[in-house]
Amino acid sequence: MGLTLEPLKCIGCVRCEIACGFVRDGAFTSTSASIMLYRAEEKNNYFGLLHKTKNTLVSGRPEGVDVSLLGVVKPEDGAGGKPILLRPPCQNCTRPLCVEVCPTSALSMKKEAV
Amino acid sequence: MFLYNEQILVIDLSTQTSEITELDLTTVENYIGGRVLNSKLLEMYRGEDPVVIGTGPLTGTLAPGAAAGVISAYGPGESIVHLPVTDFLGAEVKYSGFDFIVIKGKAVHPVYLWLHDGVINFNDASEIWGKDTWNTVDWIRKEKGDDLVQVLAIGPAGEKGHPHAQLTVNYWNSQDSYGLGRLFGEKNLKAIALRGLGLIEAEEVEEMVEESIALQQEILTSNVISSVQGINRLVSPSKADAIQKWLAPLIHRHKGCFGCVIACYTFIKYNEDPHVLESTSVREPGFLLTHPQAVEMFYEAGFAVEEAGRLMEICARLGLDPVAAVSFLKENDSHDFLGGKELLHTLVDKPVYLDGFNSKTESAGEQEFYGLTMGICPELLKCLPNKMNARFLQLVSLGTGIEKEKLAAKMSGLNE
Repeated sequence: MGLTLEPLKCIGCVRCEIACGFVRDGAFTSTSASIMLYRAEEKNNYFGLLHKTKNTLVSGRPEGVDVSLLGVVKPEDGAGGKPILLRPPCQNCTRPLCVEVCPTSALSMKKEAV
Repeated sequence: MFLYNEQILVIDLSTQTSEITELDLTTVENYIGGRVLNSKLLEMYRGEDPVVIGTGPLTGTLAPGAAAGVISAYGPGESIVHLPVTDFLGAEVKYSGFDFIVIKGKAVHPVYLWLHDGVINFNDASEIWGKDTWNTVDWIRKEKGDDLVQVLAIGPAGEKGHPHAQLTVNYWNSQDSYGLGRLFGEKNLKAIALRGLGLIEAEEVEEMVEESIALQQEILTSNVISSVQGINRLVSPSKADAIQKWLAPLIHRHKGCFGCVIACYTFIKYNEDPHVLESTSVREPGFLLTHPQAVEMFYEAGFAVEEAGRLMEICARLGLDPVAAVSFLKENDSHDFLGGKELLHTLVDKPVYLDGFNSKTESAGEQEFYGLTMGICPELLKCLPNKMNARFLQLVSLGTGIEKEKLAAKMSGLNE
């Protein structure tokens, strides 16, 4: 089972970030989350989700879902890509709170992570 | 203390100094937070021209709708006005390390405040004084090297002391129909920029998270939240279908605020195909509709949706209340973009109250009172039955350790 991103369903509430931060730190924070909303281009309402795993950075954007090997950040990853590289990788929680708190099912657990 | 940073920041613009007053548990037990404590702080600093920005105990947490901050000031006739601020700004106040911010006095020269990680900087605003709000936000974010900086700003309307000047949140309209933009202008305060990487602790944090998830599920599976999303949720129900059809050709997508389970804002595109979701070279493709009353009034005034969007963008850029603006356009029999644009610029240079325009002075309903005191978006609470307020108070209780019955009695007493 793995985390699947469907960015077109995302409303940008960052509940997933806060939930992941709680799992890490036992408090409400987003700085240690392994999942991150891309919201750096507010004026043109561009959006996406970034998910750091042990070896990869999964980028879910309207153009599609893209998987990069860590350490190979592409120029088009933009400002939102950098901070997540400093965060801990997803620990594949038995009970993924990020999925539970997502109000639109933009995140889900599926057999094959996408 | 839990759910708060224990920090009330008191800023004196006249001397460019600040001090921290401790926010203690007794104060939270007595005033809970948000608009109630804002009112108390306004009374404490009465005579020093105060504006207070506050958060509720739930602001920034995993409680559904925990986006709300509130800005309070003395309005006309010495009544206190409370402006809800949502999107990401309310939560950013708390994550920047502060719970309440009292702004006193007047700066000698234009300044903007930079609050981050428990630190405040008084920054010279001479380079942005005169800029519209969009250019102000762009300039500040570039200066700080961070596109996630949240910016409360005024535009030319506030700088010129227009009575209908409003505070904008990043690039978009707020619900400010009180002329708080003018107060900032009088203070020579161009903007407040916020960014924080803080952490909010809770007394019974695991129970609070479980209860937040249960409440979220209850809200999403109840019949009280309709499947219709976006700004249309907030307009008058009798006009919702017609406005939905009016907006439809330009809708890009709907957006939620921090921590909310529904999306009440709608982005419309008029400078490129609204169906384009991919990144393009168009940097300013449209406008985020955040003000349902303005949307409704532009619709009723007979504007085409594209013209309405463009005119609301101009209002936001100028830092002008769009509700006052559309009243002015109607008064002058303007129903198109080019004429309207010229009139709005004229309006900014005309610092008078509009005839027949009623700014919001009505007292808050129960849901607004509870929402702005606890830190929950009032628009979400208004969709829910009043009995659900007790569920949110339960979250406050779990988070702070204050007994639920004590909180309920206090809230009930404060709302009388």
